[in-house]
Amino acid sequence: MIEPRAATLAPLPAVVKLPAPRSPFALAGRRVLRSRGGLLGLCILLALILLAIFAPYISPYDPLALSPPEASQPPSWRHPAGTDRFGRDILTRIFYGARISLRVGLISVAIAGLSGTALGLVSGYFGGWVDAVINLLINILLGLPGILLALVILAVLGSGLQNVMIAVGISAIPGYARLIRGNTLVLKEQEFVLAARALGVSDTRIILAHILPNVLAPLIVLSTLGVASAILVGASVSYLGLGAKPPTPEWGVMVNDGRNHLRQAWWLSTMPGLAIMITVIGLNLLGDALRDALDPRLRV
Amino acid sequence: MWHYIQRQFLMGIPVLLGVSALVFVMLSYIPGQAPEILALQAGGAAMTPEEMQAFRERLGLNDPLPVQYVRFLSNAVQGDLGRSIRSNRQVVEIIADALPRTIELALAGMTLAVGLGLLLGTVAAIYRGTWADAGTMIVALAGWSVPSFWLALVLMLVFSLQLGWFPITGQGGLERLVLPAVTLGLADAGLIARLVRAEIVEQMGRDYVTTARAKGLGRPKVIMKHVLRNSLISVVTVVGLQFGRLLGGTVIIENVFARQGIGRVAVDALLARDMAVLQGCVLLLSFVFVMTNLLTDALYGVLDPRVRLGGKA
Repeated sequence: MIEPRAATLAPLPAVVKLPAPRSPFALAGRRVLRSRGGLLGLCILLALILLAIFAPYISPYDPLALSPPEASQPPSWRHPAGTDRFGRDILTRIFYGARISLRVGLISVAIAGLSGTALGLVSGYFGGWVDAVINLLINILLGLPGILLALVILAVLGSGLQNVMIAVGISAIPGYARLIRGNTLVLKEQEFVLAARALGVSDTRIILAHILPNVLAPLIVLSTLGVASAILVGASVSYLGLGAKPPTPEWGVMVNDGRNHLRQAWWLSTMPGLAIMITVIGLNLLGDALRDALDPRLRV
Repeated sequence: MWHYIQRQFLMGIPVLLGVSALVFVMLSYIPGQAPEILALQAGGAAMTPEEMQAFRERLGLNDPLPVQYVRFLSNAVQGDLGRSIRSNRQVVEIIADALPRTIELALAGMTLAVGLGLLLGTVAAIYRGTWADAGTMIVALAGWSVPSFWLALVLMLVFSLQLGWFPITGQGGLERLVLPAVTLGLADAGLIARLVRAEIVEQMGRDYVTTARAKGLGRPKVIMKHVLRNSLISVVTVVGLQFGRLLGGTVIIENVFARQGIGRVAVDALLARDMAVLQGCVLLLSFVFVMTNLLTDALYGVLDPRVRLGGKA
């Protein structure tokens, strides 16, 4: 006769003190907050988001309305970053520009991250000819320097902000696909995946429920750094005249706008460029801190 | 070893074919194709639809895309990339004029990046944990995060307009190369510095370092004599892979400094819808890019036998 096991165990003490369960991501979050760089990066990013959202309430000026009497004024208390050739307050335009740059960064990375992850998972997990085809495709996309690929895609799609996001997104796909593929190749040989397969779990479920959660850490790191580089590339193509168009308060466009007036009005180009640099530094700091927090051995 | 290198290069062929096909197909979808624009330049709306048709026929634009591609490819391997629709010059000639300027810029930028990166990275590693380390790494991060087109303008503002040390734009002569090369090299110097530092710090924990220290070598000497050499393998890899980014960087920097290199020619062609020129430039840059990557892989295998011999997996 088999007695139920529970009956043979001593009763549990009334109060069990266990540490509150924490997910690895919550732990990583705490580590990021404790690192100096990570905290600084996060603050820069948060400040930028707030400025972007509340731009109309923070600044008394309009980002687009012309005001000829105030044209090309150097930085002053009234206009901390000066005014442009049409009398528009540059700091206000930088705040509104944050909306554009954040959107370009996030949407491009969403495009690149989603497609790259899907391609990487499928190609790494199934192997064989699927892998061969996807891998060749990735290598072909990698056969062009990223910015050049973005330029060619823009040539096909035409200029405009939306196309910038698509072009920058597509040109970043191979990086994600490669990273996820590499991780998947290692993961699919591990015992927990073999066990799941032996139990008859479907391929789709293994990929989504067992492999995907394990590639999230490197994916988060690459995505954070990816937003930084997407903002840089996006601003670069707009500077070249292939992205956003002049009245738009896009940072790259604004730098280009002051390019021929460096001697007379240095602030036209300098100020929006500083905004790009600070934003990118913030995101890079955050990305580095995330990498250290999630896994010190990670090299994305 | 030759076998290994050969295999590496053979792998480049399908990639190059793929890139050329991709670029060819993408550019053939570009709105406002060449003959229409050429017709406009040649005499405006005077061209009738029939004439336009005959024109397209003559240029072979009515053939199916695969036929056009194969024709393009067979011409390309014979050194004929077509003609510019604006100047009617051979694309090969245009590229031959522009290429030296891009190579000059890329090499100067790379040299600067490697030199500065090694220097900063080593200094940071030697003085690890001090203000020198922190300062160096902040400079590296800033270099890595600065938009190159903006840095170019700031350097122009300071060194050309204020101090008058260098000419603002154009090409030819060392004095016109300095600012573009600095702009180009700074980003990669930042990356290389971070890598060198991380690599040295990691190597410092190895047994051979303990041995070297135990026999009485000082820290700086151990770094110079032993650690730096072992760190070079990963530096070589990154430098090779970064070369592509650097090539992409020349596109922007040539445009800011008005240097008539490949990147500038390509963007001009793009804006003017001069497809043959754009295609030629893109294919050339991609050829150089793919070849550098393969060379890097091969070099990695040569420097580190573990890669070459275990490469079957």
